[in-house]
Amino acid sequence: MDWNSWLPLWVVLSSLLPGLLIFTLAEDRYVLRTSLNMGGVLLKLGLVGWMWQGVKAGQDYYFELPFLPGAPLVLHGDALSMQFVLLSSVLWCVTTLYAIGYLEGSPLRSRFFGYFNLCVSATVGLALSGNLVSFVLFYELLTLATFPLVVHRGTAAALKAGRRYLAYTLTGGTVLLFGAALLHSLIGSPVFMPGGYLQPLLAEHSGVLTLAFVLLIAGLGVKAALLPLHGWLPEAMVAPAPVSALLHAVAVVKAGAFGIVRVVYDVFGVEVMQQLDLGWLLVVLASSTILYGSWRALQQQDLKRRLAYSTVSQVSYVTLGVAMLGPVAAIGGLVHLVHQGVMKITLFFCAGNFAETLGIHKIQELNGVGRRMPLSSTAFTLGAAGMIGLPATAGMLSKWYLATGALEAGYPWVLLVLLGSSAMNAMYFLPLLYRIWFLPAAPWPQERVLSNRFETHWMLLLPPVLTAALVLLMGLLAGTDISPLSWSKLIVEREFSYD
Amino acid sequence: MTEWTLWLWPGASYALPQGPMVFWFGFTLLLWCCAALYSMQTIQSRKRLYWISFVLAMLGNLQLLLAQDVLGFYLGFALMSLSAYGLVIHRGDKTARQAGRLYLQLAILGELLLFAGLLLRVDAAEGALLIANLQSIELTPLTLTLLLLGLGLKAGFFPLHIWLPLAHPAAPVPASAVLSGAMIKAGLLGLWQFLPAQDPLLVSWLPGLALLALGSALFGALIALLHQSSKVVLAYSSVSQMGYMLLALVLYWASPLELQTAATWLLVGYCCHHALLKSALFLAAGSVNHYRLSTWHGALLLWPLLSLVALPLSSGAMVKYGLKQGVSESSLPALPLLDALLAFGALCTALLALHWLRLAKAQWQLPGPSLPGTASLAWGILVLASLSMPGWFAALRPQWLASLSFSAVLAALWPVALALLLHWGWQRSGWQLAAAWQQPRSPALGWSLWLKAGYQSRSRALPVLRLPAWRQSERWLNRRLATESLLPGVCALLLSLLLLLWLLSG
Repeated sequence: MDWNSWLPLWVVLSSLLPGLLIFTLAEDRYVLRTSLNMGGVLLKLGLVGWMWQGVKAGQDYYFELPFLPGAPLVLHGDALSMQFVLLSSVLWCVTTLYAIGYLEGSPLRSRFFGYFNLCVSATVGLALSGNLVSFVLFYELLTLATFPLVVHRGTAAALKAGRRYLAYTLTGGTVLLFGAALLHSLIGSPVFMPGGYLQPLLAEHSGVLTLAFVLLIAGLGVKAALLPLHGWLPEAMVAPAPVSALLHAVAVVKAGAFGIVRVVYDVFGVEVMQQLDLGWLLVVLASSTILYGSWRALQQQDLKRRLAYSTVSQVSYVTLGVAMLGPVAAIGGLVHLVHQGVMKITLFFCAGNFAETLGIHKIQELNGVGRRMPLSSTAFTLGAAGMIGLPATAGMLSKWYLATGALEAGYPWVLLVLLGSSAMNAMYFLPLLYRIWFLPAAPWPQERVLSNRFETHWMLLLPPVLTAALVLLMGLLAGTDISPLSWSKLIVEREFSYD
Repeated sequence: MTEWTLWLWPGASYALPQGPMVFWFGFTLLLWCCAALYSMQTIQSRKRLYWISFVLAMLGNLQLLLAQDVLGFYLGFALMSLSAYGLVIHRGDKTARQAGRLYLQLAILGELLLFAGLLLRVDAAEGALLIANLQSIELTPLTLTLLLLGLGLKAGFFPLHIWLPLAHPAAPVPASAVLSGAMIKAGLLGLWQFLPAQDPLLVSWLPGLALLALGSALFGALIALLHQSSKVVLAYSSVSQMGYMLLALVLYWASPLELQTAATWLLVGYCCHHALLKSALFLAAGSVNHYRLSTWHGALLLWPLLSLVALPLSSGAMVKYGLKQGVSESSLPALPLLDALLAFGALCTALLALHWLRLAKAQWQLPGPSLPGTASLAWGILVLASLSMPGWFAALRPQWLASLSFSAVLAALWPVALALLLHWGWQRSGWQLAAAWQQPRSPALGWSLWLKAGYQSRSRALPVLRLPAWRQSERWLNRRLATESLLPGVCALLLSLLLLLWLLSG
């Protein structure tokens, strides 16, 4: 067997195996558990880095396992999947560090980290899936692996949120399954390919294809938090901070958004989408989600809830960019997949730090945090600036490409949506920054001393500082070869250059 | 041209300033250095906030001058605008916070408009990101409006000035000096660089812009007379002077190709002249307010004022002469009207200068600590630079020499003499404005408050306001969406699916 064809499997296994081992560990095996966690994360990072430069050089990584009749389990590393795999491995690395610091001394850590690793395996598997059937499989696994994380605290609120999460995502998953099955019954499950594989069916089955598209998008839209299906996301913020960070930035919502990218580009393909005239539907849906999410975020008084609604809004940028079906808009959407992840994870890390160190949950309690926790507050500021799309941050570039793409693809009104959303982002983030930096501090709700040297435990501090630096670097060094922007351009080059 | 393309954001490109831009860059840098020097011993509270904002705003300002690409300019512009917020609210009292809020709201609005304008321009140029590549692309009414508003909000001419007379006096003195001297010029620079001269649409708008510019010049100077705080008077004077600079820009846009270089030099010369004298005046206002001064400081205080009213030999006389000459040689319609407005403007400026002088005199030699040496040095450098400007700004030397001719001297002196007479008469008669007219409160603060109500967090201290009907139904809808939207929808979906499968199998 060729080493290259095993690589995708190893990328998935590098977190699956440590995860399974961690389940068997006793609660007090801190060192072993941590080394398994970090070892798995670093090994995965190395493998993904290796694979990344291979894909860049044009290498093909393809792994196949018989699974269902006519639908093998395929793991395939192409440019698009590498975008998501790389994002999840890098952010998983920092989140693991954060989670170790966050959960120090709390019960049930083996269970937590076990599911945590299962969750990354499912995400990476989903990113690498080479056909629709494998995608659905990993999509469901992801739902199951994240549920224990959402209800980890076991409180009544957590269980309620968990139930709603499960209700939404399982029904979404079922609908997705039906969509996939419908397509499978028509043409089987070929490997994802740029330009899609449904062209031959277009003449005869256009009605069924439209139905399949609606089913697939409805199923994926649950996780991507598209407008009527977003209800679970703001509730799920009762989960511990690292889980929220991960739900919002990498795993769940991104899985939905990534699925939409796959369906639009590699199942249906731009031409079929245009002939079925389905793009505008998704554009309208995404635009209304963007505005609605921002509008709702404006009304929230709870920090994490506000961030959650902001996610509802920001993830739809990805859908929007993809749905407009133009190459430049696609760059914007794909690069926002990464940018939004890094920015939002920074914000959630910081919100977690404020809650853990000072007991801050409400926005009114943020007054004067900047002086007490300068590094976290700086990271928060950078993340928020990115969300607004201020220059020099990553968010500005996504906005620029999305807006240029909108003009190019013939949706000039989308520019207004983007500007309106930016304005609302400024309205709900800048007052926070004003409170953090310029208002005098009130007594903290519940202060804990987590470190004598730093403002909080170093494991809680390092991750947001790193990701905030990334927000800035991804914006400033976007022209370099290793930036997400260049990689998105590469993806678009490969996705749009089929014939 | 030395130009570097860097591996930063897409299209990033820098160039050393050249030709007139050398002077623009030079006065900006000088202003920032002098402001820093002045701040060293005069800023005593909230130092960290002050210096972080100061340095970031400075970096932004220099970045936008050096950048040759659209995104680089936008980056510098935004960095400068937003960091200056920290300078505006530095004092921390209610007035400063209100001014800061309005400033920030309009800064964000300006950013968004500028973003849209630049984006549409770049799109029209098919993705070219260099500013130079945008010059051959024709403007549309939409892009022209967006750019005029987005950049004009920073430049602060009437009617986009509403934040300026609140924000500039609220900031600490050295910060006001750079705000008025360097930062608002960035808006003008943007207009100059992004709107191509000779563009047919722009040319058709020029008469209107010229009137707007002169209107701003008169409005600023007249409103300033109603105010009693020396820094507010200076801020309105900036509004007025930005009008003149906009006029110089209009002349540049209106000038035929062969005269464009001369028009450029006039524009840069005016900006340089105003930057130096206005920052010196702000430092003077602050020094008089808070410190005991020596007699020789009086000279430092007077000279920029004389330059402001364009007394012969000063740089003011040089640029004003250039402006008059430019207007009379230009192809703008309604020339006599413009000429008359210019003369009236000179009278208003002279009245403003006398008004300011009276305010400064009232505070002269109040007890207080003596002015620190670094502050005196910074102030002195600026005055010296302003004083010697006719010497080193060689491109306008012909205008300077021409402004020394008898008729020009006469034309420059009569408004001053008339203003002296009016001012003297006013002082003699002891006539006071009606109280309703004095220190008019800007309506913009109300608008800012109204906007704030849209996004502020509800406070427990305030009674809960009754929501308007549409907001109540929206809340109801939100609840329904969150709790009950999913299951019926999915059931319907599944039913339709079963129906379909049944149809297919049949």
